[in-house]
Amino acid sequence: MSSKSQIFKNLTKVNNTPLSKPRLLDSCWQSTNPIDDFTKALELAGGEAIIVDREKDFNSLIDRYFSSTTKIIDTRKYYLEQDKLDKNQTWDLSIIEGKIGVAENGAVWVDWNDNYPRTIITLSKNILIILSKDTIVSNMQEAYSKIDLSNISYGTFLAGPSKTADIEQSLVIGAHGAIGLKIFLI
Amino acid sequence: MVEHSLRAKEFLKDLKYVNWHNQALWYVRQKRDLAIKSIPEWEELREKAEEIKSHTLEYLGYYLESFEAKAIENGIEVFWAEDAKELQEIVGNILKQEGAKRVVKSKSMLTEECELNPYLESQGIEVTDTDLGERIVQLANDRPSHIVLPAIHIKKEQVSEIFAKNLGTNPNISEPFILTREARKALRENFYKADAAITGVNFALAKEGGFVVCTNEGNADLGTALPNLHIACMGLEKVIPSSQELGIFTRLLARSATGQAITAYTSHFFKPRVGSRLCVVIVDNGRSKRLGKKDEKLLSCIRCGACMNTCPVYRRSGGHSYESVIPGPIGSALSGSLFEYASLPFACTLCSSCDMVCPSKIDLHHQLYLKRYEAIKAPEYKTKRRILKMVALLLNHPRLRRFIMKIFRVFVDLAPRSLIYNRFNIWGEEREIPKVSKRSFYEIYKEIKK
Repeated sequence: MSSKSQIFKNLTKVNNTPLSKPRLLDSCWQSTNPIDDFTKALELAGGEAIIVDREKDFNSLIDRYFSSTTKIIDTRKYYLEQDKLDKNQTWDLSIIEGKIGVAENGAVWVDWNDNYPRTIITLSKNILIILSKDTIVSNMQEAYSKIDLSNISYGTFLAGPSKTADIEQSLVIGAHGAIGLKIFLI
Repeated sequence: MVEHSLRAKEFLKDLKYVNWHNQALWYVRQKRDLAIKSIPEWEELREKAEEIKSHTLEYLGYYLESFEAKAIENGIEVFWAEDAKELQEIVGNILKQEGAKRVVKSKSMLTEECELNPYLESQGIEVTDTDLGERIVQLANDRPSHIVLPAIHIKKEQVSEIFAKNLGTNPNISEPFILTREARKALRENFYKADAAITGVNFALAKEGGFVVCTNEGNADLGTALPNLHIACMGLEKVIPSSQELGIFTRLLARSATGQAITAYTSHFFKPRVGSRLCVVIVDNGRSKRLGKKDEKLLSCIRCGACMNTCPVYRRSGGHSYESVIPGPIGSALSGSLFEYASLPFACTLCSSCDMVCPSKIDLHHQLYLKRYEAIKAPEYKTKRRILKMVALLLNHPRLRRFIMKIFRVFVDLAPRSLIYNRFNIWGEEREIPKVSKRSFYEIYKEIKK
């Protein structure tokens, strides 16, 4: 007998199809100023949001904030041939499009074309997320009702850079992944 | 049998250290209190989490089946393990198939429970724990003392020593920032060389056939992004109906655990990377036996550690005094039915602080109280059982009790100190028996009633 059927011997009483599942909360905390709340929450998470008025200012802003960066990977720009990429390739800066921002915690949903490696959020020193102001929702319940997960292989809510407090509760930014995370709000 | 109180006594020898430990955890508890203030619907969120978890347990077979079907459709390989040994073998076999010799692992309480590391090491596989706290503990040949903060019991000066010995760093520097950077540098090499990654699972999504791993460090994300094999190990209670319910649990988890609004990385895995294998092992290891029993609710635990941070006993006795893989209130409740851990349900003041902070509203103090009925049957508690029987006898016979108490009052008043405070009176080790009244309450009451 397979292990699965052995386990399911104990699950016979709980193997029915549910007619319905619990409803989620009818009302959750609503932000009165989503951009402001998002910016503050992101700051607490060790990141920084910068409001960008015109899209054409991008390049000069990137130059200003990431002046010494040479190795940049930009998921919006070009189609990447992963075969030519070294597996352990590192970057100074990853530029990724954010899909949804969350005001209550400063997190941003990111997923990207499978042609780009998953390491772009960990093997890059800095992450720059481009996020439209209109996509910021108040809370996680709203965020999950809006993300389309049907066609992605990997995606994540990023809230600030990588961090740890495992040594005497002292917060240190940059544990394994990115040391800095900025968000351009357009 | 594990004697929690004796282990705690060891821990309590250095009061300065105990206070430091207590304060460190209380600080995390306070951060949690601060974090939940911004959520007016916090209590409703907890109720929802409780409801969703108990709903999922009621239909667990159905949700596990749909998770498996959808995961396979996504290209994930699904395995089932009845117990710890089977998990070890499954993981060992997959690694062998791929010729994997070096593994990077992110934090997973399940693999601790199933003693996966020692098994893989016995098979000649090098396992590197990549969570900083777990890495410190691993290098020190120690064990995690907390499920979220594995190295909460280690001071930075000790970390500096451990790193100096194992990583060749400067033993005079104990600045957390510098130590963390050193660990980052050293672990990068482990990540680059890894042939496989092992992670735990925080939530498995039945509808989407994917799963979520939450970390602050990004170690699960980096670990799984490099090698061509990712094995995720999950307890079968980790499944939830769909991603929509994550809208409840992701709001609760980090706030309860560390007082953060959310973990830095909340990562969703649905399909293997192109050209890679993604395997999920669903582990029972005694979980399904709890279904329909009094302690079924323990399966609702999302492993946030809030009950440990708030527990007055845990904070002042340390995680190691429990000797179980999971310490604190939830750990005592989970392993309290085993005679080996029979002392754990008694390592509790029944203050119910844990019930108040549990994000899925597990009635922990009540569970611990119930476990005492089972625990007291342990062979080591033979004397304790006899004493309790005598107490029961006295309580059932008021006249006899009054008589005995009368003698006792005279005895306490007149007997020399050495007869009262000796090795049989454990209670009196740290305390003085209060001055005994000449007349009993019953006598006074009877007189007043006249």
